[in-house]
Amino acid sequence: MAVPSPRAPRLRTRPRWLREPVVTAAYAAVGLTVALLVLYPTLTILVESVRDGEGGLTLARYQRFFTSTYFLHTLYNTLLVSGIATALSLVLGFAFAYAVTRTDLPLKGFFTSVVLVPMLLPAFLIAFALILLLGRNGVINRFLYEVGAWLNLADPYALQWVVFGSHGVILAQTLTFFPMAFLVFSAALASIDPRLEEAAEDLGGSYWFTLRRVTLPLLAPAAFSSALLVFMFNASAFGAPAVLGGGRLFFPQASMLAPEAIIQILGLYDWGMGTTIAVILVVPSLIIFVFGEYYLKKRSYVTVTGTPTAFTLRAVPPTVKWTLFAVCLLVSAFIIGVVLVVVAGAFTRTWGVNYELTWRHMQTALNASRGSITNSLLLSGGGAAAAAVFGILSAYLFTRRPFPGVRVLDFTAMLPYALPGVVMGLGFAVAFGGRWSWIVLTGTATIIFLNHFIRRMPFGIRSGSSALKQIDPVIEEAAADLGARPVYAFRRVVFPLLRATVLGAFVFGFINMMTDITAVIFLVSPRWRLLSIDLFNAIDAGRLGVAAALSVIMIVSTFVVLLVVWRLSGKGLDFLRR
Amino acid sequence: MRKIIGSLLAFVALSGAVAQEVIVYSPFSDEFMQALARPFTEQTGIRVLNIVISTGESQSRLRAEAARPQADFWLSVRPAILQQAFDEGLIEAYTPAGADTVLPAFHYDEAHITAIGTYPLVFFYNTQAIARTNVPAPTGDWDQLLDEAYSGQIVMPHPATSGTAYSAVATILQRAIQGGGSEEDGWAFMGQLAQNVAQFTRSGRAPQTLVSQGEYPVGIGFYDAVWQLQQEGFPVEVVIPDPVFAEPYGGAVVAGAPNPENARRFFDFLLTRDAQDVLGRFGNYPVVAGAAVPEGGVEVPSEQVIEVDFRWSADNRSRILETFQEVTQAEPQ
Repeated sequence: MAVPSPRAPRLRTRPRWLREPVVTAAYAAVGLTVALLVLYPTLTILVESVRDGEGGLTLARYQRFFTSTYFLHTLYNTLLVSGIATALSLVLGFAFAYAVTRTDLPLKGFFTSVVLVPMLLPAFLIAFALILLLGRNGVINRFLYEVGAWLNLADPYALQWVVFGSHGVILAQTLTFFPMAFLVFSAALASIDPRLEEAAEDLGGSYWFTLRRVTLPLLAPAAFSSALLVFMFNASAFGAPAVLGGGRLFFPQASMLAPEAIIQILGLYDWGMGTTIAVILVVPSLIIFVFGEYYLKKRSYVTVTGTPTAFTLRAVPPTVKWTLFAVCLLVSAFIIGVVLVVVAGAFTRTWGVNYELTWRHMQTALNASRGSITNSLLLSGGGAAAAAVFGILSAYLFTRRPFPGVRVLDFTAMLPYALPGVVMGLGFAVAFGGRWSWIVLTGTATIIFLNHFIRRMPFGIRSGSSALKQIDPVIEEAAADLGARPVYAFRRVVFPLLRATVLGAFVFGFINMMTDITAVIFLVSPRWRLLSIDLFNAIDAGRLGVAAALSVIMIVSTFVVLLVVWRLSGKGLDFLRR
Repeated sequence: MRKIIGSLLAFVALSGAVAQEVIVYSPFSDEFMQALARPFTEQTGIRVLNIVISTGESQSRLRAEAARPQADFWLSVRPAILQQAFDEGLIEAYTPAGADTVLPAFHYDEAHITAIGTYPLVFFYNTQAIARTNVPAPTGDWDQLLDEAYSGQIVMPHPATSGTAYSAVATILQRAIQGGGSEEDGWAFMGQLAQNVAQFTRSGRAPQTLVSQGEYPVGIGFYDAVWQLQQEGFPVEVVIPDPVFAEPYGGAVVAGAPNPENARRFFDFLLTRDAQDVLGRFGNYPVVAGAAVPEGGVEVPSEQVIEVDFRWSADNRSRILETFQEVTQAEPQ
């Protein structure tokens, strides 16, 4: 988009990059950051995966991957689990979005809030909570056992539904990722002019006909883009398969791609095979990302007019309405159950065996992980601040001071959004871990900070550029006419208008950094441990009480930080609903 | 925001300034390490930093870091793996100050191997799961585990990532050899056992967890983790197999460690009564006379303890791991 330069035209005596040294320097900084933190680590992974022992190149590992039953089963498991979880997420996301935007259900505000809760929790926390609920000693399964015993069944365990296996991973991933589908669908539904649907019904179309022939087709692009998004996150998920998958997936002797990459590196220290799996994991994400960036944007049927149309809720058949209500209530209750069961687990002596109340786990967790907690808060706080500010600064450069080729830079800077955490973490471990020994950052806080920063900068860029589109460049021109230099104009005029956007990007980044494991699992060191990794280790070691205590600490400290930010900004968490 | 970044930088600078520390790689839990560290830090002022990492993982990590070692001390390592690491130049041959107080049964002549503690490799089962599934409780007879009734009911760790599992495989092979057969017989046994194993876990401690939670009825693994879960109140019982692997574990100062002197002092400390008493509180048996044993712990009949030549284990390790993959076709999970 060509935006007129906010400064008055001058005689073209010098080239632009000399006339605007600050802009040139800013572009140099963004370019260098992106080259060093995005391109370089990604390329080292690719190189590492084809490097043989003698310094030559080899495709042997790819050949091994695609000929070994084990690795192929890993791939099939990933595709099957992700495919089913994506389908279920779409259905649930649509049900919630439709219920909230098109019906007059009771408790709508409650549903909209609860549906966002999974986005604030670490991806593996839901998997962990499912063990507490639906493991053999889980609350629900204990209850089902009692029922079975009471009914005098031959096998009182027959009613139990144990969560370990493909079904558990699918359930956990659906609950974790359906809020994304919900957000996309509710935005799309809100922007469909309801008069289209009314017209269809006025012309005699039944409710189901209208839904099938008008509403759903209008939602096709939204469905498609959320399907791609959710599938991308599902395919690179690590938490649920690691916690619930062990040996009981569709192809039982194999795992899934992301956990497999982590086992190859951290378990077997096979950098070649680990990076190969990472590259294989990148391919679908990249295709989806490119597709989404260049194809879907042009194909949206939805037009936002800016002035919302007068909105009347449509008459929805009672059966549909109450079915939706039941679904929403059930899922919301389950999500609340997930949070409650974790809190209960933190104060219960031995889950499933001894339900005495105890402070012991909390004490143990606080003692053992005190350093990790401060590290996580510091690195996430710092990383999120840097990502928000730098991201929005880049957005300003890209939209207001473009140069030919800026789209390439924008695309590259957005890449970390599409690249799975495993890939970004592994890329950093290879690029800055001494295997290419010119920059060695292993064991430092810097490597974690930079990884946090670059992975969440895309959100700053995206929300920055959409916010900038709503700020008329005339304001900057006015500032320039009054004699403000570009830096001053940005600092005193544009930036204050973007305050809410900066805070939104900060909050999003902070939550994601606090809860991330897949990337930082490669980057933590004895001196720089993180809360999320301690939590994952506790789950892995089966120390459920301590794990629950650590989860509570994580949730509480995240919410305290969010509350502070909220108070400072005077804004709610509305940005999540955009 | 500027403040956050400022305090971040201050924090980085501050933590870099603390010189007196020792970095430990060990599979012991954080509580265990902190209980060990407390008296050590009180006596010496040296801070103990640790990460919880299985022996196999730390060995690969030490290899990868050999050019720029990140760790000072490597704790809870079997003699065979110490031997192998020493041959690769990954560890120092340091004999700690208290080595002469170690009981004769746990004494090694090699300067790079000093026992620190021990616990047997045991069979364990969940009493509720056994009652539920009609799987027979294991008796301690290895051959019994081949019974069809155990199909898909056993969990054990994977030897590529877990030192525990490697000890189990070495025991199985040695049992076959010492029983008058050949290594081939041992592999045949391993192959049949793998038919009954539901999952080869990545971590040596995962089977104990899975069995304590009733996910699988029977597991093979080291006693200390079972003991700790029993203390938590889980319905887990232990059987001492015949023969039983009860080799001690040791530790080593990492070659080229960033804080070698602190690592040596930590090694000295581990053989003091203070440290050995802590071991007993976490289900480990001490190797010096008079220190506390785990409360209510099992007795290991010394005539059942199998002699495993650690040099044989060390020399054959990569071959054993490869054959294991071939025989079982299983990857760690």
